[in-house]
Amino acid sequence: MTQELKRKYQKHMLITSMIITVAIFFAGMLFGIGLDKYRIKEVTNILNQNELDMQSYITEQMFFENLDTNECELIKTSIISLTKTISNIGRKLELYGSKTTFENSEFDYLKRKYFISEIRLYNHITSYRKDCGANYDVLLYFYKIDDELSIRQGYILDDLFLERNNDMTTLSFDIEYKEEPLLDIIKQKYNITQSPAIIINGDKTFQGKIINKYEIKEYLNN
Amino acid sequence: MLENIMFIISFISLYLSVFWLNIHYIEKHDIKKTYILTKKPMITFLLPAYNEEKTITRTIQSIINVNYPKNLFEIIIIDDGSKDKTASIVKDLIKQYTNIKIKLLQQKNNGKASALNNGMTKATGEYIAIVDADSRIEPNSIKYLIPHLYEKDVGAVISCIKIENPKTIVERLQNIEYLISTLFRRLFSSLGTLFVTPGVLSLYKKEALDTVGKFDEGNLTEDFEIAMRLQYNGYNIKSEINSITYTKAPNTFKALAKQRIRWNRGFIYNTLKYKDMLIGNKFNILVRFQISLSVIGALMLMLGSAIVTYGVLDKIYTYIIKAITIKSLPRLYDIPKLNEFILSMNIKLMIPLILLTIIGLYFIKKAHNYTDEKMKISPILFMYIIIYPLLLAKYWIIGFIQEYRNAKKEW
Repeated sequence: MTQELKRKYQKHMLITSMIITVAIFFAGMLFGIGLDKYRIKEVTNILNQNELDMQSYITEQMFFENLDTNECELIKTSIISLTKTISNIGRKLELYGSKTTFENSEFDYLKRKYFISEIRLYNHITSYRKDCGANYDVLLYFYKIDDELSIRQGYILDDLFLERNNDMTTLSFDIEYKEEPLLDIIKQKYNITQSPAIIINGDKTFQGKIINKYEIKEYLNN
Repeated sequence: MLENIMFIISFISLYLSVFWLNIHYIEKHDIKKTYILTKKPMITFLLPAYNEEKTITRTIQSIINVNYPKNLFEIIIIDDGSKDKTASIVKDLIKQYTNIKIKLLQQKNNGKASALNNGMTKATGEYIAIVDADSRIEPNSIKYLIPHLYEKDVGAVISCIKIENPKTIVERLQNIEYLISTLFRRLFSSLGTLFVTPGVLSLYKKEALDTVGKFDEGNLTEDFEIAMRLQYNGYNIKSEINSITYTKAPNTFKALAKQRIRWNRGFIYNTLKYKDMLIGNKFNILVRFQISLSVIGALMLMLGSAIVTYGVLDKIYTYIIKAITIKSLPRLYDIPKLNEFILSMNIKLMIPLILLTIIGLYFIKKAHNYTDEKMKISPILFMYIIIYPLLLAKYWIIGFIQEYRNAKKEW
């Protein structure tokens, strides 16, 4: 190849390389779309599984009611299992939702389903506490995304949950989420206006400041 | 915001990597090609020296040992006001090698560029080889360089620089860097966009130097400046990978910082001095592309490193805050399952980063192959890929600040 021809060829490389790079990024975008679909599929699958578990739990409850027996230990096992699934969904939604490029609305929809599932679990736990007279604790936690206080309160609740994961459930809600009217009802009932906010066993409410582990423990049954 | 900046940096970096990969593909058969020595012109070796008593003998002896007729070269050592025994060592060597034309010029300490200008007034060679007084040139170095200057438009040719016996971490990091630089300088040379003639060993046409004028005596990087001036005046600069020269490199981080800050300040000053090479049609698109690339590259290195440093500090801050909040040490990292790890990846950043790492490793491997060095997968290689860019970015930032403030020049 002569020097002149080579130089001409090299100049073309400026454009050729741009085309190749754009093609790589386009391929990357397609891969990203595929990955987003897979993320949604994974969260949807767990949500469906959770749905089924909830149905199973309700059927179990009805069954015990018909038999007029009270199998509180069995109910507790189901509640612990439901809590673990819900917390897994929450973790995955947080992990994947922040990485999505093209599926924000789909993740918003899943988030709504997740919040509804959480509220349903809250209802079940409340009934369980009442019917079985159980000392099982349930915390409703309202956070604000990217808020320093909420992040720190989250650390404390994670730590507390690790310490006593078979005796309590923490259900987290985005305080600014507008799509689900049920959340507004809860906020109004407990007069929640600031984040972070914690409602312990539907009774004691804290908001607008960080509550440490020991303060929370004072209001727990266990 | 930061993520978008990183995305832009990744896009540009990937584009440049693809570009150089293409150029390498076109050039790969010619990189090691040697040219035939058809005429043997007179060569003057210019050695500016300041307090070089430890290395000057070895440097001069390496020149004496070059595979080139002894009557066709002369060596001029310019003692730039050394306070040690440099001059007396040279005088002894003159007495010892009576069959070689060796001259000693002595002047008050005035800097390297001034020493070179002084040497040029006494040089009789058709070609001028500038050699640092701590370099060691291989016997065949000159033989490989000369044929490039047969081409009319070529004003200078540079050799492949290797670090002499790298031992410390700093030297070993620079060793990898120098090998990669050699490969890229060869690629720049093929595009006609090489803008450096390192003092370690560069061979010039005397006619070209006479045309463009003296070395800039106030310049922090006179070798970079003369290269820019040669290109500015229409001379091409070539790189020869088979011509090998060894040099002493800074062996401590402090010495490295001093050298790099000086280089970076020199780069900024000289790029601004020749900024009109970027404008208009006097220079071809590849020249303008290369100059822009050097500037953008430095900016991207600084910006990218600042973002990475911020990211690391943010993680540390988060960990500390978490520890303070829960009043005990949290787990450092929860190891995710493989599918969770893949699904939680940020594709916008990860794909370019993975590709860049693969292309980067490919070039490092090729650079070792072309320079006949063995590539070792060692902690130094990982340091070179992960930590060294952060260090270089820091030197760029300091260089920019010093140049902006017009700080005192230190050689």
